Amino acid sequence: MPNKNQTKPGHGADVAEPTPNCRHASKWVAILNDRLLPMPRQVVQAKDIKHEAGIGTGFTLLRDHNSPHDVMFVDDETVDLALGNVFRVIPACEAAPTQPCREPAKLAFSMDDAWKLTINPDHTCESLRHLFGLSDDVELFRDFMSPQDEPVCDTDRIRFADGPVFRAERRKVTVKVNKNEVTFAKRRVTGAEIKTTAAKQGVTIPEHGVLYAMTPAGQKPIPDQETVTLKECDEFRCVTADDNS
Amino acid sequence: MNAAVQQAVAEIRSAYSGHQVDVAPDGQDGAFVKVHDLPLGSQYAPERSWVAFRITFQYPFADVYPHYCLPNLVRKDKGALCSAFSQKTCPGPGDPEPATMVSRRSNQLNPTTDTAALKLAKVLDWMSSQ
Repeated sequence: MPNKNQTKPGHGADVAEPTPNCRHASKWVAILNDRLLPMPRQVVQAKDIKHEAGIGTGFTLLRDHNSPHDVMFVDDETVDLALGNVFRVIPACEAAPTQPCREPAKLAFSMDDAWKLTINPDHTCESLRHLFGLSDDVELFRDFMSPQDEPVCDTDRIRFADGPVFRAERRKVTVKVNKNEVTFAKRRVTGAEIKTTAAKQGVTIPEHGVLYAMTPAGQKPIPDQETVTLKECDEFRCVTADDNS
Repeated sequence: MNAAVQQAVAEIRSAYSGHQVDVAPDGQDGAFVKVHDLPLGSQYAPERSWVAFRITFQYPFADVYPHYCLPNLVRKDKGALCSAFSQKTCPGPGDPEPATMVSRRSNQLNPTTDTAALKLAKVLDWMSSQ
């Protein structure tokens, strides 16, 4: 039997999403009757979810928990997708209050428009790859509402509440080292890895060379232990260290 | 200034676009360059200075060194500067001026990758790490 909505009132659908570190807002999706639906924001009204699925007023929206007591929403109620984004509907005439739901909500992560269910809101890159059956040479990007999506580091903690929409890309990225093209199998590398990878691909790298990133703002030294995120067309120079004379 | 020296100057102006860059021909197809208001490191007095150097006509096949900054550079902790530092006069388009010379040589110069702009960055990074 469905349970009356337990979410907090007061947040209309027009509230701007808080973005950690001033990033662009994350994309959100909902699953309704096993269909993946793009959502305009994290917090929406129940009727918006039904409307996206083409479902009319004769049905009541329920958030799908790992329980027989799912949370029910009336049409004008706000739904925070971060609390669970998997839904189903029942005929409105069957909707009735029931006991509170204590089970976790089902959570749907989306990867390149495919989706998988979990009840665990915290993942790692490894667990998310396993959820979608992806190999290690695939890089994950959190999908933001901007052209600049953010690669997810292997050591990052992936929280459902930060946005469940991702895309995957083969990791390879090609940059220039000492004017030679060097291809990397991953984007986040250390200065030392840049030098060793370049050397393996035939670039003359001086022993104990000093690595610089050539940027529009000038040369930036990259110590061996510093990690950088490579982008296509990045350019690096590795030059001999100097001696006192 | 020959084409290679002009290219070096252009790269320095681009890399240090927020700084005044004085350039004068050295009369032998090379150039005297002085970049102003560069950070030397918080351990020095003064912390910031102009840095001057000469790019000879043989560039990029010749190293760009030594470099010069304000005279009488000292460490705030009163410690001695290492052997790379000495008090000299800095050559330039006018009369030589008193300066602190910083002599750091690239013993395995690679003319395809080593640039005057990179050399200046290396010298500044080395100074700030001392």
